[in-house]
Amino acid sequence: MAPIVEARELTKVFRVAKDRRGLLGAIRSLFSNEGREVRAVDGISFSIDAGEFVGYLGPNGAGKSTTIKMMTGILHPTSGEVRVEGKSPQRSRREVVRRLGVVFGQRTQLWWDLPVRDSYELLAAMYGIKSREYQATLTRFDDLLEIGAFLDVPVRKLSLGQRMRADLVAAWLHRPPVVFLDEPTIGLDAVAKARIRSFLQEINRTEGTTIMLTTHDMDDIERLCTRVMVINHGRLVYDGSLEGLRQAVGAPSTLRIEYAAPPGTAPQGPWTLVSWEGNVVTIAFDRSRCTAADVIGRLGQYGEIRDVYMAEPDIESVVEQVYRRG
Amino acid sequence: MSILRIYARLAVASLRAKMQYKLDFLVNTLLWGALTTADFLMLAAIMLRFERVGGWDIYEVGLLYGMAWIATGLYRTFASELHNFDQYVVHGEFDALLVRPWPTLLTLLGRNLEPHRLGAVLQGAIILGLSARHLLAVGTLDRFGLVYVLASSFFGALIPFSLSLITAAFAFWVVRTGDLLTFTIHAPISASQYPLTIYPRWLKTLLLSVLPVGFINFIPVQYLLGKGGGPWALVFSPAVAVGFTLAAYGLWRAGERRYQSTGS
Repeated sequence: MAPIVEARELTKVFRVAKDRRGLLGAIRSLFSNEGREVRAVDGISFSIDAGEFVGYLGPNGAGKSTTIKMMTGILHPTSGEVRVEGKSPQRSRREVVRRLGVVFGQRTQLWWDLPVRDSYELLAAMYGIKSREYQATLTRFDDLLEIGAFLDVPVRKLSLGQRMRADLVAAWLHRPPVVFLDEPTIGLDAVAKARIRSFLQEINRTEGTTIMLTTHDMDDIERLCTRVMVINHGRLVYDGSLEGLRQAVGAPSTLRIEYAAPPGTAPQGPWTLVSWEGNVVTIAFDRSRCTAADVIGRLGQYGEIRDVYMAEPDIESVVEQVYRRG
Repeated sequence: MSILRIYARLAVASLRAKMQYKLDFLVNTLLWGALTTADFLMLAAIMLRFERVGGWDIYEVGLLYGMAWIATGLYRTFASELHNFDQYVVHGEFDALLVRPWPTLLTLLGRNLEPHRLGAVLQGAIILGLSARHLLAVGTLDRFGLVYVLASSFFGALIPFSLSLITAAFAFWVVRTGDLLTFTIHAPISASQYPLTIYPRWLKTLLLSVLPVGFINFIPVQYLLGKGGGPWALVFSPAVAVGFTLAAYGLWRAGERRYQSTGS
């Protein structure tokens, strides 16, 4: 099966003009070639299959938004190309964006001074959505995101959580096969985040929408994404499963063992001893070098095990290590 | 045509949004009305003092004035959003237009319809009407001339529109274009209310080339009133308007590809 979204050697170089003062300076910098080049995205390639839910991670300024803007036809790449359903969003912008949904968490796509419903009706007209289809979609999304309560409220009067829900519905109104989400949970409280996550999970499962999500919230990634891509300094430093990311970094898993009686000696093995207090022993081990079963088996030689508690490395520290290495 | 249907939907929505701020709307309308009246009074004062300007009498100048006001009023009614366009580039709001499956210029113009500007069209039409009545009576203008003048007033709106579109498109290269409008639109439009014969040669050349506002009214009217030029003027003027619009749209499309957005 051909991938639904593809990027090949995608590069975006911004010229940051040397800042000159005054009108004359402005005219001079218009014609001069002086200035600094910033490679915001530097030769990125990836392909995404239909139905995948991909998390796109990276520190601020790593090139996440620039990538998304090239995927959606907003920016033209300096070199390389983008394909969405086999077409270039730059060369066939209108054709491609008709089949895309886009949400920018920082900025609403709705008409600021109009009720939410008016925005939806305008979008329905712009995307040529049939009236019956539109009604059905609206009812369905009301079930999932409870937007009914504020459909007739002007967008500027919505809370951030409500606005985000309204924006998500707007992005899905024309049932796009591919949706790009740029920080959809930014600034939201835990309840609002949870609601949006369960919506995204549901819609990905039932509609099979291919989703690419940028976020700083590691919970988003852990709960939603089947695949993670990490970008740093414009380069892709990791592309694979979340589990694989943990292993690639070699972040230690921790294991806490409660023995029936305190062991006679400190347990020795392919791990590091974190603490030993009475009959409770905590160790850290690298999953890429030995399995949990193996570790527990060897720990069993030091006494009868009553209880086992295991903690995976939190994704935040994993990603931090990747950033530092990249 | 679906493009017109979408434009109409957007424009109606923009009016509805505007009605949320009724006082603002009212003040704007009154202010604009006062401005156009003041402008007209100044012209009237000059005409009553000198009777003839550059060899044109008050009715002949009235024709030019009326045409310029109809054209400008129409352009401002439908394309005012172009005046603030650099803000879309400065703040990266152009993103929102690019992710919709319609030409960006259509969705941009649909965001701001300013019907109160039609007051200027009405004022222009009244002055044009009074002037034409006199000129028809004394036989300087014939019926064909009148029809042409009316058609040309509407067609002429394309010229300030394309000037404004070119200025807006500059924002893709230089980002901030604020003061540029004074030179590319406001000054030429004011200049076009008088016969170009009163201006020095360099200015006249400018107003017939780079800032071709002379083709809104002066060039065709000069011929229709038997003051110079040839029948070519009647074909050439709309051709310039259409050609300039196409060129401006080309520049806009080129700028669209250069758009840099902003960091989030």
